[in-house]
Amino acid sequence: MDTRKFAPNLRTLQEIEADKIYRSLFYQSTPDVIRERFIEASVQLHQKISTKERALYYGVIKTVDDLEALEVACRYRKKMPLLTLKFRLMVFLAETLPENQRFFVNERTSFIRGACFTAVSLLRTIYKLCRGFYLLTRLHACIR
Amino acid sequence: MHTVIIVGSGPAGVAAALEFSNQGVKPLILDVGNAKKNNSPGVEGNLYAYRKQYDSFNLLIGKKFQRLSNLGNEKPAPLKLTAPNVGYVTKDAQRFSPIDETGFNAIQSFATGGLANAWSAGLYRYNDHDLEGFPFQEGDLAPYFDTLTQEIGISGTDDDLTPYFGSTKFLQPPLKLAHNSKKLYRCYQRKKAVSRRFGFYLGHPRVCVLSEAKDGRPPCDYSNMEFWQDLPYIYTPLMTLEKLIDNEKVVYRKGVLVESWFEEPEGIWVEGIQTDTNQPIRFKGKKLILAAGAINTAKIVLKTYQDYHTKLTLLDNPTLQIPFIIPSSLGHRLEIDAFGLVILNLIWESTPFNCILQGTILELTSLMRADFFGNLPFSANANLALIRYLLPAMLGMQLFFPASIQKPSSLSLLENGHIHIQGQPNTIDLSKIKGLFRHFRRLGAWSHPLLVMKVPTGHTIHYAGTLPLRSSPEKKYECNPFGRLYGSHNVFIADSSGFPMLPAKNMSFTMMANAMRIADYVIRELKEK
Repeated sequence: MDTRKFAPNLRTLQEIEADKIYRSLFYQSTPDVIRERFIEASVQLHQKISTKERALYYGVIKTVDDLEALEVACRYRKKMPLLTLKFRLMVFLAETLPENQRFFVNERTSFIRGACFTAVSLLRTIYKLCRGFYLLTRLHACIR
Repeated sequence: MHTVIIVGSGPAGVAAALEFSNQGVKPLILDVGNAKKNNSPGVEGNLYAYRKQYDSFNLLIGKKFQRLSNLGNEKPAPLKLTAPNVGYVTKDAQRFSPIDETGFNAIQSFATGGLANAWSAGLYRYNDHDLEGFPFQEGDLAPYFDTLTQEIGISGTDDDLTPYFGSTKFLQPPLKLAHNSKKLYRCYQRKKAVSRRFGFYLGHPRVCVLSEAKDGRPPCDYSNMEFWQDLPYIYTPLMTLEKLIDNEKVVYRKGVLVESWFEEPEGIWVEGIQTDTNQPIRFKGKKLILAAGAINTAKIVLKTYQDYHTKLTLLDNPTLQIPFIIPSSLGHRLEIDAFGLVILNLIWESTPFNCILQGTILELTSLMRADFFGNLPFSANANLALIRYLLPAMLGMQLFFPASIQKPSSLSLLENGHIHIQGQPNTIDLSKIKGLFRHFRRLGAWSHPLLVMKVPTGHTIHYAGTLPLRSSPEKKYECNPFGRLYGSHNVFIADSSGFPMLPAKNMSFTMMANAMRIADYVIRELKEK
């Protein structure tokens, strides 16, 4: 894949990245405060990769819509660790907002609900893994 | 000239200072003394109530993203040291004591009160079994253990672990258990006979956490705030130090990095640098008590002797981190009124390892939920669901092994002034803990060797053994039973450097009692002269 066609500045790419990751996790648009913190916190993660790697990374982010699938596949294939780190970063930041507590804290006891969610999580992961592996084969030139 | 100079203000230094002041001697404490910047007001009430109401970014992540320092870091710090409020604990460590390490993850503190500002609160008495190889016995430490128990305020109780944890004198009642730990403990009580046959004992820990009010300090409020701010019901040596300073029982001189000493017939010169100006400074005393931690005490000794060749032994407890799932708690609501540090202890008289192992069991309620996100194996969105429904059904355990189970690490001083530490990998054979997992399953808690994480060497921060105490020291870098360094008249080692062995038990309390024992001896020697 030729990533040179993705010329917009870094800030715009980071905003797209933040929005896609947040939506993958919470199915909502990103609160401004989280977007700003995400971009600021990303600086230290970017210091660990080269400019070329970063360009490839953002090329992939811009192209792929299902980042959840791509992330889990990358994690299992030990590729593009930056994407996994960005997901973790977003979860850390998102957890600090009061309106997000419902995503992290279960306030009502229900064994059946817990068992169902665990089972669905397993099935969802299998589906996302398959989809992620397919995406990896499509993007093999950009992802290492 | 000062009567006694103590180097370091961690648990050992403060315990020695307490004994000196109790006996009317006013020591000088020299310390770098990084202090906490008190710029953020404390949060009152429960962690989860606060999170529901306010943006908790400053409390949990920090303005400089301190909490995220482990992301992508090849040498991640223990989680407690990444909390935004404890940055000062490890601040400037590489500046004041640079370490070149291989296979070791050294953690140092130059803060007033030392690493104990972020300790896990477990305080255990070494018994005679633990003290095998030491030149003294439990009885020699007993009076100091008792004094410290009264000073600190330790909770615990008489249960199946008393034979391992010793006297229950002066203990406060134990902390209340939360949902999962209560379930596990109840099940253990029902199946005690089977457990005993397996050498498996569960009980309440000994922790420096108040369950009842003491000296103006409130009891534990089960607010889950243990990781996030200083709490008055969790003791740290800083509390005793501040009391001693306020009552003018000690002279505390901060901003001094001690580097070496030299002895004269009538006393000892302690030399160092002033940390703000880098100018040399020296102090004269009759006796010197080194309590700067096993790594830095060893550095001071090696630098004094200008020895760039000797490799000293450095001990640390090999440790495993083991998650447990309690299936019957699946889907349970998160227990928001809980205590998030050690809540139960395990003692396992392990046949496969041929030694006694200790486990500290924690409720996983105080940490951020995001801390677990990266450890779960599912897709991102599925992991979020598991955080909600599976995490409240989990307990964590740290399983400690005696240092003798594997080859020790070594420490030496390089000519550029850096410390070099050659670590040994954590080589614990996980197949040997299958029996332990089988027994936990009987108690309704599930785990698997694949879920176990080997803690990197050095991460446990139980450093010891660099200058061991011996019944009759025969060579340099050994100490006599009262901590006097071989070849010296007036230099005493009061911290864990002097521990010749490291059993599978948190050493802090025994180190403090031993520092008091050594201080007591020094006072007697001063009086005789």
